[in-house]
Amino acid sequence: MRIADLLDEAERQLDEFDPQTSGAWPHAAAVLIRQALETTLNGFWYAKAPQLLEVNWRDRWQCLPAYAGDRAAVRAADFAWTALSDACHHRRYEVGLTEPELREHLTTARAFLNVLSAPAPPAAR
Amino acid sequence: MDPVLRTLLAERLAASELDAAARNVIEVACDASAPPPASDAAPPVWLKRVTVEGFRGIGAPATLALDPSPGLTVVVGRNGSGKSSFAEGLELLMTGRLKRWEKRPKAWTETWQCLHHDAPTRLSAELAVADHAVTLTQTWPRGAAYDSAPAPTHAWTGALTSFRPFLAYAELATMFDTLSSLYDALTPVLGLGDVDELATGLAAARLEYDNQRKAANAARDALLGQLDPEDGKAALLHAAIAAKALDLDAIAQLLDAAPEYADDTAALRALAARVVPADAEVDAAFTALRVAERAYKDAAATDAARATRVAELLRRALAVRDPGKLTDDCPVCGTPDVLDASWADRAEREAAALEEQAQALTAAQRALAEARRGVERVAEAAGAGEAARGAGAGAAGRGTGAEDAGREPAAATRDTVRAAAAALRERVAAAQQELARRDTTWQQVAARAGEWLEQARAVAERAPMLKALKDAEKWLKPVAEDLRRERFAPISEQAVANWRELRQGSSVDLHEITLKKAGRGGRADFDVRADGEGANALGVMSQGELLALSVSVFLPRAALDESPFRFAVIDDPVQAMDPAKVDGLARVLHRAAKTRQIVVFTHDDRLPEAIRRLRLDATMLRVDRRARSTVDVQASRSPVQRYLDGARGYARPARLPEEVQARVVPMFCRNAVEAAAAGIVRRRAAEAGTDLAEADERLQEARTLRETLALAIFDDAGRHGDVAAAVKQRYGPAAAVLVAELNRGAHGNRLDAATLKRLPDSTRDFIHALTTPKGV
Repeated sequence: MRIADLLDEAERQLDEFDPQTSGAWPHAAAVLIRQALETTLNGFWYAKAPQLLEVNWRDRWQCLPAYAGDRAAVRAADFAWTALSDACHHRRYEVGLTEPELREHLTTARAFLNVLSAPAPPAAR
Repeated sequence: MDPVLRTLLAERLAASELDAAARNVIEVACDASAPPPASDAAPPVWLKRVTVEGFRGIGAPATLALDPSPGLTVVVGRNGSGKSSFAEGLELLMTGRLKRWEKRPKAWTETWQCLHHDAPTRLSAELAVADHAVTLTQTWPRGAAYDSAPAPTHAWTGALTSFRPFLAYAELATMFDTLSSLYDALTPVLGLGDVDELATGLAAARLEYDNQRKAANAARDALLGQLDPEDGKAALLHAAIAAKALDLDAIAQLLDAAPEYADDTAALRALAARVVPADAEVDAAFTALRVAERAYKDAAATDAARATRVAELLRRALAVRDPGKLTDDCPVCGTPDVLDASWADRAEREAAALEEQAQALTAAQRALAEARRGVERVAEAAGAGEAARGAGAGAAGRGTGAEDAGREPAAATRDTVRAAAAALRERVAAAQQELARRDTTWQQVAARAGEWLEQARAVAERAPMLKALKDAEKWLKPVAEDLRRERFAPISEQAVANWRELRQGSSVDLHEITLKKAGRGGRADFDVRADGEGANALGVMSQGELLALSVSVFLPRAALDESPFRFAVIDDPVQAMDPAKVDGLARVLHRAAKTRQIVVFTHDDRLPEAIRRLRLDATMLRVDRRARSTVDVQASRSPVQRYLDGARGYARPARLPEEVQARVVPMFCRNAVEAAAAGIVRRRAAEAGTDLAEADERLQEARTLRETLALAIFDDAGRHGDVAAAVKQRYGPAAAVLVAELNRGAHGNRLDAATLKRLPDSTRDFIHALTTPKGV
């Protein structure tokens, strides 16, 4: 499944109402967006520096600006991933992300996908 | 008056040493005061359903269905999920206003209708009343102001002011901003307003009586200033009115009799009463005198004395004559035979004529004297008496002396008498005028005195009443305080008990809440002590503590039997509360829910978590807001159940592309295990009596499934490396495989279809094993 399709599936969770998944859809959308972000990130490292696929997720995000440029879309993706990771784990008292929050993360993930698919800026090592 | 209060008051009255008059005053006032409000008759009401459309965060119609019976319902939803729209929609529908929006700038209320909804705003609520349902509905067109709808009409309008069953967060936070508003809120609830009203009524009556007394006193002072102490009558009145002990009857007599006391006035009165002869009268008297004088003069021309003597002589001579003889000799001159019958006849006639002559003179004399007296009378009446007496006295007193009778009165002429009469007439007129003047002044004074007397009489009559009123007021004041305390004591006790449950770890202790009357209003006093220090310590309380205190006070109020509302809606009481307080809150709410339908809206899972951990009964609902403000309410189960439900929902075949299922389902399953593990950790902490906040902190730090499981199994997140082995050893190899699968699958590593299919059930089994205590 293409990353873009994954994101479309996430959006479907936000738009379509299904009583069977009532209350669960924010988590489902969150996990799909998060995985889209992760897959985008891994694809980048696979092409640029496969050894980074061995380090933990935090470090993979940490190192990204050095390779992909310190861009707004990159920083936003890092932030969205952190928020979504939290939402994808059981966190005390949290009752999940809201629809507008998820929609924003979705936009971020799409922008991130576009940025990393485009040629890397020349400054990259 | 509230019948309960009336009885309490009557009991105290019977035991008091108040005299009968004052007692009567209170009884009458009690009877007169307004009957208990009709709202008391409003039937008990439960909430069955609230439907909201196009209001704030809710677009398409959304319904919150509730069980119309005692119990606790917790509605959970993120901020902006629309949960408060239910609470506020109900409040607006029932009360026609929103406490939260009052005193807010207009911008707050301009966008009150849902932006994602083109249809009119429509609020409706189904209320369960005894054996039937009542539906309230209100519709606002697009663009209408929220407060533009007609005032709601239902049986509970009156009760809403006393027993408002809504406690919004804004209210929670500001309940203690003004202690007088709290007094105002609590006083009508307890019917204490009636006592206040009673006191106010007594004070008003007393004031009226007192003002009357003061007005009478002022009138008396003014009257005293007007009374001339030189004027005998006024002086007497002055003395009577100025007396310390007033004899009102004596004063009334004084005014009625209006007697004369001054010589001057007596003389004036005599003069004014004189009848002065008119000129014609004077003239007539003088004319009569002249006529009498002339008659007398004529009579006096004959010698009356001689005639009398001759007549006497003739009579004697006739007596001497011997009637037996025909003739006789004259005994005087001796002439013979002259005294014959013809002589006797002649003599007889002559004697009679002479006697008549003498009598005419006497009559003229008498008439003259009479005329003189007439003149004297006229002169006397005309004020010329002296002169007249000097002239007429001789004639009147000297009998028939003919020589005096001819004399004219010297001083009193007709003209002098007329002049005197004219002068006297003037004096009489002047005297009358003066008297009239004096009478007018008196009359005015007397009139004023009369008015004052009436006032004074009324005051005197009401004096015992005034005293009774004062006594009653004096008696009522401490009794009202006492009643206030007694009536409020159960609420205070309940609130204190709630607070003790809620405070959990706060050094602030609430000892008593008292309602105090202050001036026209009153205030609520909180005996709040920090670390045992006796001080009104509201100021030292944190926001969370104040919230807890607000809930502590609100719940007993909502649970009053007098309230027709069997439901109470509390919006987000959990904010700013620490975990221990949330446990307390859960217990307090649960206790209140034994007799009432308590609906609590909350923005996170803390209250539901506490309720589940403490194993309290409650219905949990979740509110979700999706695209275009579509709001969905679902029964909420525990987080574990919720995740498992999510896993099953997404695992259904053909629901989603298989790949998406493979990505989503493991995440739900993993979260279910994490939630179960977190529950174990938290319950263990609660049972051990350790700080829940610390347990939460440790759970927060555990970022992965293995760390969370390590916390649950070893009570040490650091031992996450030992989790796999421990799980395998304790729960079997399948469980160990499951944990590995969950970890992989949650990160997008595809699980095969068979594994995916059995994942929710395997997870459920593992959780069951995990949460069942070992050795059982």
